[in-house]
Amino acid sequence: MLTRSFPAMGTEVELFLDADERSAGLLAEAEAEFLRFEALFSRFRPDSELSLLNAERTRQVGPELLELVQLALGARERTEGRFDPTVHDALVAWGYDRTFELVDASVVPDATPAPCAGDVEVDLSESRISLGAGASLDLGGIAKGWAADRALGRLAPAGPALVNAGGDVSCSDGVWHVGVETPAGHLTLELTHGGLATSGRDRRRWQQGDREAHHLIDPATGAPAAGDILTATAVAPTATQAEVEAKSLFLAGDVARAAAEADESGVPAVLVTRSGDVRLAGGLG
Amino acid sequence: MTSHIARLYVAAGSLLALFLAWAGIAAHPWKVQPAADTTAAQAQALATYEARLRSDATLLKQLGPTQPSSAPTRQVRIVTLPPLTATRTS
Repeated sequence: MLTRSFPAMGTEVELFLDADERSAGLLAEAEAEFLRFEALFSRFRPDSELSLLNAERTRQVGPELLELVQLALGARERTEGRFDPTVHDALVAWGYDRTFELVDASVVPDATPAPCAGDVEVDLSESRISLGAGASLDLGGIAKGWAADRALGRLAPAGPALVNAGGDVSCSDGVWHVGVETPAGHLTLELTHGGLATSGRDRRRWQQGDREAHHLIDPATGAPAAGDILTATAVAPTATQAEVEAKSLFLAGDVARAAAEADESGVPAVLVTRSGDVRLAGGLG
Repeated sequence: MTSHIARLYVAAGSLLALFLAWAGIAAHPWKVQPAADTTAAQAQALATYEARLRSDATLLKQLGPTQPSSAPTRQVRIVTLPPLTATRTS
């Protein structure tokens, strides 16, 4: 088994490829791909294509950003606004305006709920994206899963492969054992293909005065999502879809509703509550 | 004596031959079934068969697409094995 790990997109990325040494170069190619995507999609890099779009408000963009924004807008529509790529200003308002390691809890942010569901227009004929007034994009909720799927596309022709981008997992045909964190330890899921992702408030959180803030903004309020769910893990055909499903389940608010939705849509899910209970849904278990 | 027995055999044989001839003539082997009757019966059978096929096809359409003979590979299940890697909040 060939393996490689490296930091990218604010997390640790792991690559696994069940092939011989002749395919080792593919791992380096996949890493380079991740770093290229980070340079394109990071909202913390002023020269990234995403930052330039947010600053200029309308811009001709490359095929990757065009595709990712289309996917994000499609996810917003499908989840009826629970997943929203226009949470950028809300995240900044709540203090997440720099890479998470640098978020300074001592700086009390202007925590006025920022509007979400902003207008975004995509003109495919000109490869142009235009942002409506007050709408800025944050693709942190979908870019890692998408990048994992793209990296998998490079590795899979050489053999069974798995890409884990900080919890957003994409794998090709094989038998892969992926641990999901629970208060009782890892729950191991055996994946044969597709994607898996976890969203939650157990990491990327900070204290603002007497309030706890975290990075999962509820577009309906413009504030960090409330509710009794600590983490939501979802399985889907791709990591991109799994990331959207996990966020949508997390933003369901309470675990009973999230479980009912997972059951109804047939999305295998592991839901961990803030009190430490583990709930399996969507046909899992 | 011998010629008496022979005459009996001849008489019995003649009766048998006469009986067989009568049975053969009574069966009217020269009478052929009209072709039109056969065709009509076959056409009726084919029409019945076609109607049944159409009915089955309609029923299959209502049932939806044909299911594969074996269930698709399950994408995920819980196992009690150590994980190769772990997911965590992204």
